[in-house]
Amino acid sequence: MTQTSKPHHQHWLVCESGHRWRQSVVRMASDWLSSQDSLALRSLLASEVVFSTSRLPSGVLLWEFDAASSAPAIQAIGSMSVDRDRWLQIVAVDRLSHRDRCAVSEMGVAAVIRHPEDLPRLSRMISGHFARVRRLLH
Amino acid sequence: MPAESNSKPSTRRSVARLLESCDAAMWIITSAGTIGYISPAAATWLGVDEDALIGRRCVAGSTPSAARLEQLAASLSPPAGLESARSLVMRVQPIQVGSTSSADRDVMFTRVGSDSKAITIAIVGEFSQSNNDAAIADSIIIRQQLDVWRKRQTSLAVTVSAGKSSAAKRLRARLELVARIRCHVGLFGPAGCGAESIATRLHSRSTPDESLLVVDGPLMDAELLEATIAPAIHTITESSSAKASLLVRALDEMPLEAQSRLADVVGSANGRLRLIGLCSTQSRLFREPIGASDDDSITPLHTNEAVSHFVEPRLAEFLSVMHIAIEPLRNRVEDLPLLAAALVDARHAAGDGPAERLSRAALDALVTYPWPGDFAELDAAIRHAVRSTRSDIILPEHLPLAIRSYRQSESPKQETPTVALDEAVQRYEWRLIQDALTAADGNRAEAARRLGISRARLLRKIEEAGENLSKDEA
Repeated sequence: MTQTSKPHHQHWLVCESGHRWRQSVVRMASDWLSSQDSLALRSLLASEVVFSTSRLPSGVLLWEFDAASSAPAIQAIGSMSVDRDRWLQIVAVDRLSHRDRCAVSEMGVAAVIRHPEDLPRLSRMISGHFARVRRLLH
Repeated sequence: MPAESNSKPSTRRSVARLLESCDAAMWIITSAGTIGYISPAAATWLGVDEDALIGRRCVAGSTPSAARLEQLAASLSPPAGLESARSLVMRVQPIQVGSTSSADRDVMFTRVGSDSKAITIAIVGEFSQSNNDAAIADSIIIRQQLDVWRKRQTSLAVTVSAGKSSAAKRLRARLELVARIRCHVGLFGPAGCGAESIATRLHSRSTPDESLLVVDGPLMDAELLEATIAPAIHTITESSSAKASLLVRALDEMPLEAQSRLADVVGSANGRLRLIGLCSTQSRLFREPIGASDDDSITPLHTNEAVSHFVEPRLAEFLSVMHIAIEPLRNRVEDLPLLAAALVDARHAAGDGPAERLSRAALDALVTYPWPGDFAELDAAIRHAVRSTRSDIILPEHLPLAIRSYRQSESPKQETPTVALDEAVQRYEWRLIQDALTAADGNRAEAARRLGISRARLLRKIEEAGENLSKDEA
């Protein structure tokens, strides 16, 4: 008898000013999506993140940092860190000093990337996160 | 009269003496992009005579087949973006020319002068200055990664093998191995993956004195094949020590009888006729131990059920000795910036245009594009972009429309349910008839009037529906 797993939505919340990372996630999602999974992607403002994550079971949060957006984003990351078991946080930033990188990782950020081509490097981490969350929830 | 001839000869001599007396390793690149001066300390560091490099082109992206000194001169070229930044620091990784390799050193490149009369002064040293512009800093990192690849690969530097992904590393390791030995080789990759250029480069590296005959697999039948490969057969029958190689394009699309004939010829040549086969999809045979499938001695293998791709078992056996899988470009997103930069360098060095680097937005467009035409499409896109731009940087608008306007659909493809039209129409008709009969209290004449058809036609319809029902029950 074969066991069939239920279809699973992989929630991605992208907090960015344009659509660069949204497009990149869509393009590279096949790297970590299994045939049973589907991508549920949403762009939102930093102020909406806490509310949105409270309504969803789990997922990945991708933050884009720049000079203008980093302050509210860091505040939101801080408030999200308590939920780090269910939400994998990735920061996309062009340049980050070693000190800032350490500070960000202390706040519960799993990975810091610079460009879209860095996303495939995180495939194992992302698929591992969803597999772990699935075990936790079921 | 040229400006330089205005200076007094004594002044020129004193400048030359001044440079000679300095122990700094430095070189000067002329406005034409050639090495105009190299100091004795720099020549010692590089392990060459000063005169050997004077006048050589100092532009990144020289062809890998070029002489070592040409490649060395290219490795001393300034990074992209110097025209706008005026001064940049980059780690130079010289190509080894003699028996000893030169250590990598930091070099400050400074551009002096304006436009077409500008020269570049390169000074070796230790510098604390960092390159402030993030885009230029990124292009320097890419250039340094490319230099590492060029230095290690030298004559086998096929552009498609550049990259830092595990697929690129695997490909390079395989190529290095195959280039050292003479054996049958199978190259597996999608159309446009650059397999043919890899095959010819491998051939010229491993057996430079051996003739290479190219055969178009899908166009052959047994007779045409014999006629096509006759020169190679003639070569090996002329002398007992002579050898030849056959490069067969789309071997898995070659008619079976031609494949069979090819297997006979290659088998009877006792290794003196080398087969280099290009296939679009990797056969099951190469993933299983030989003999694992029960019928592989009888039935040709289907490598792809949708298209007729076959590899004759004996040919598959030859190629299984050494096979190289080339990953589709769409799966090598990490390598795209390096591959694109290598192609831009090559185009710039060939004089196709002034472009030296890609903007971040242009790179983003390349990274998100799925590359259905694989490496050949990337090459064509870069050629188009280099020819479209008038400056040293490629922007998204210089890329082909298909690439710069590409947006991947976010909604997954929904499977359209298949509908049997006749059945659906019959079901709908039967429902209308039933409703009309109910409304007419079972009076068929009244129901026919309500439906706007004759009583006889209604009776036929009821009869047909009854027959269909009994068929379904049966």
